[in-house]
This record gives sequence, C-alpha cells and structure tokens, in this order.
Amino acid sequence: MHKTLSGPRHAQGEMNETTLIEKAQAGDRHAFDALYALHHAAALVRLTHLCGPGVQVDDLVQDTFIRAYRSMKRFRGDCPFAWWLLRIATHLARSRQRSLRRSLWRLFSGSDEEAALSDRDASAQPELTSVHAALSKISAKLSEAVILHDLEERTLAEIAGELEVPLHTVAARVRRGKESSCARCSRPGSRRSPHA
Amino acid sequence: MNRAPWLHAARRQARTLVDARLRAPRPSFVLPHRTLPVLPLVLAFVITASGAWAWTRGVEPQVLVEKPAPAMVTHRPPRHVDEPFGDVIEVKRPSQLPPLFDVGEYRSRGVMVK
Repeated sequence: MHKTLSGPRHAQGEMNETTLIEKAQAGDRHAFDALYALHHAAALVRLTHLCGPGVQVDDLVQDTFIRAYRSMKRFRGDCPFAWWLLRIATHLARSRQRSLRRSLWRLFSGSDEEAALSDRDASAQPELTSVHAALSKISAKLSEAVILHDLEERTLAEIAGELEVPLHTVAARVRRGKESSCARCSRPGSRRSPHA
Repeated sequence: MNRAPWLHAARRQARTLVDARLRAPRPSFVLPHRTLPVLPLVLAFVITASGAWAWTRGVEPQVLVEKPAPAMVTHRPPRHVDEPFGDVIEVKRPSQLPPLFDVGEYRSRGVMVK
C-alpha cells in the first residue's frame, strides 16, 4: 500500500535500508550516517518547500536528523523510514513557523544575514515569496497540503499515505487551501500575467 | 481547469530554489554534545548543602541543651485551702506552715495534718 522510496528497482536498496535502520536502532553510528546520506536530500527538499525562500534550512535539516537519531528506537517500521523522517521535518518546520509568529523578539533581533538572504530570495523568487506569504495566513494543514501537492508535486495518494489521512481529506484540504490562498493572492496575481 | 495559475510560476521558482540548495555540498551529520542538565544539578546541590547545614545545626543544640531547671519545681506555689481533699501535708513545726494556715479547718475538710 505504501509507496516507499524503495520501489521494485530498489529492492536491494530497501533491504539495505532495513538493515541500516536495524543497525542504527542498535546504536551503530555509521549506519545512521548512511541513512543521513540517503535521506538528506528528501529532508532538504521538504523543508525548503515548507519554509519557503529566505530561510536557511540547513539547521532545520540537522535538527530533523538529530531528533530522528534520538528517537530511532521508537521507529516501529510500520511506515517507510522516509515518511517518518519527513513527518519529523514537517513538525519542526511547523513549530518553527509557530514560534516565529509568536515571537515579538524577531521584530528587533532579526539577523542581518537572514534579512539579506530573505530580501535576495524575495527579489529572485517573487511569486514563490508571495505564495508563501499567502499560505502563511491560512491554517497549517491546508497550506501543508497545497505545498506538498502543488510545489513539491506529490500525488494525493502519496500525501494521504504520508500524513496518514484519507485520500478525500487530502483532496479537500488541497482544494480549500488553494481557494483560500488564491483569494489572498488574487490581487498581486491579477496584476501579473497568469502565465508569467 | 487550473484555478491557481499563480502556482505555476511559484512551482518553477521552488524547483530552481531546491536545485540550487541540492547543488550545495552536503554538510556531514554532527551530533551536538549533550549539555549537562545544569538546573537539576544546581537544585540537587542546594538541597544537599542546605540539608547538611541543617543537620549539623540540628545536632549541636541537642548536645548542648540543658535539662529543665529544677528552680521551676522549687517555685511551686504553696498549698492552699482550696487544694483537693485527701492530700497529706507533712510539717514538722507550726512555723513551717504557710501564713493563715488553720490546722482545724484543714482537718475539718478531711486533710490529714501530721
């Protein structure tokens, strides 16, 4: 049922990954390093999509793997390791955004480096920046569904499996998320050409 | 069909951004050193130190404490007429009796005066 990263052509890889997971659960650091090498890109892609431009996600990727390393023994193997890891990454990204939204300190203490990066990315990816600005105003579940479906280009079935929610729920979230964010993006979008 | 054409450009830009980040060299995974839990350690030290101090302070007075002064016994007020009957008052000389002590009255009340 689960569509794993390790399809039929990766049968050897799946066996290797299972072995690596078992070894990492037994405390083998080298096995976890191999898992890190296997899944670093997936975590980076997910966090880049969730956090948007202007955010350095390297620390979040490291935090994801640190959290995975510390709770490795709690991984029961009832879903692909990549999904479990990406769920950790998603939680981290969500909690980061929540803490940023709550924190008043960011108004005064934004680092120059981050601000410069944010400005540079905003000028380099204006549409993506405005989409993320619109998505940040709707609920996290809806924005997550839109990001996974429309930016990360995952199928509804993949998202449903990964989030462990029914398929029609994901479809409804994507639709409602698009409608909500479209309403917020309509003004800047109407000024631009829709196929720009 | 697509009701969100603005997503096309965003998707393209997201792809570019991801590609750029994936091209960057992958940093190695480094586990941070676990920091010692400072607050519980400080609390444990404070509790232990205060307990030790209280114990030493608590033992010394027990050694130095004095027994109740016998003076309190000697200052017991003299017996009077109102004392309950059935007592035995033993005096050797009438001068040892408290003032206004009436032997007859005591005897009439059942106090044995030897």
